[in-house]
Amino acid sequence: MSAHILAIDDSRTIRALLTSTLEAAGFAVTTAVDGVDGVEKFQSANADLVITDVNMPNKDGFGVINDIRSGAVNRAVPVLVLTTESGAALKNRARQAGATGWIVKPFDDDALVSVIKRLTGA
Amino acid sequence: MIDSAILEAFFEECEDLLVALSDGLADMRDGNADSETVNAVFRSVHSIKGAAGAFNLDELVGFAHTFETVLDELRANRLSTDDTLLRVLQRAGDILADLVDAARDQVPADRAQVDPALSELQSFLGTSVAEEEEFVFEALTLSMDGPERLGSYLIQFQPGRAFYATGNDPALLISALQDLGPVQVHAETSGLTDDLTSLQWDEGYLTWKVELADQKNDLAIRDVFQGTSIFDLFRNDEASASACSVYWNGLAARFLCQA
Repeated sequence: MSAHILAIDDSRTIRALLTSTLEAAGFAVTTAVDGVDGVEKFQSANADLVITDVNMPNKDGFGVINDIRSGAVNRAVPVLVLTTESGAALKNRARQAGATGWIVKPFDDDALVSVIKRLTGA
Repeated sequence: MIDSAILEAFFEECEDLLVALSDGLADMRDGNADSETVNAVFRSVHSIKGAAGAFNLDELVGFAHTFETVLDELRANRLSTDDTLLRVLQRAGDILADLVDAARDQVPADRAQVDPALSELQSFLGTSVAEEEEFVFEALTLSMDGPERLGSYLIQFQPGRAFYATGNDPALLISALQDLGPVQVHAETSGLTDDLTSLQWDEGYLTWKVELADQKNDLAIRDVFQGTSIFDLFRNDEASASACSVYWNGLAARFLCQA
């Protein structure tokens, strides 16, 4: 069974790019439009890995990570932060929240797939 | 290869984001520059920048980056919304829309319009914007005399609580090492106690020792633990670090790594 990825980003273009790249690599993909939608879908998605943007309305990426890491289900799922920012302070904040890794946009398709395969064992 | 359907969807999304940007700037001009409004304006520019990068729209990305940086200063209250700033932001919004049009029409941007607007934005950033530090991991470098020769590595790592808490799995690391060559794997269990009830479910008690043969150098091993150039596996701080030791034919190279 292919790994299931939950991709959370308020940009429909980024959601489309992630879906296209990951489905072409054989992953199943569920998308969410912001942090609130993402946390809701996480409860039922049984995701093997979560990708989340940082800057989103309603609940940002750090809020998503905090909710996942303190939740009742699947709290140890790998979570990748996907953002245009690369500052050390922000990375530290993501680490403190419990993110597994950090990917800078624009992402390289092959590198992203390789990392996800490594983290999910796919 | 750029998916034309996704590119078209990007330009459609830009239209929506530019409307949101315009509405937000109008609210700010009307005296409503609360954090929610400024954040919404910031996210509009940020989203255009983020998606434009995927299509190598460099002129659009470059301008949006400076625009976004000024807005970030504003939302952090390091700038105040006076008439001058509002005028500059409005002009930047117009230029951003022009750059989106130019990108869609595949024509060069009008630098005679873009450059002055860019300079105006940059004037609010001054010279005090701190350089963002890149997260850099450096491994100790082995000095080797003579030409490279195949050797065996002994890789030792003890995953700690932070390793498991961030969704990592030692089995995946060991699997990745297996892809590099012949391995022998040993789990050191001296960290376990006979009293299982005293063990914490989220703590690590095992030390993994992986002997990996037939390697020219340590580059591929570092890649397993460090990740690709665009992907940072977070490094734990010293206090909770899971130290990873790599020995090459008796010479020690110690990596402080996320594993």
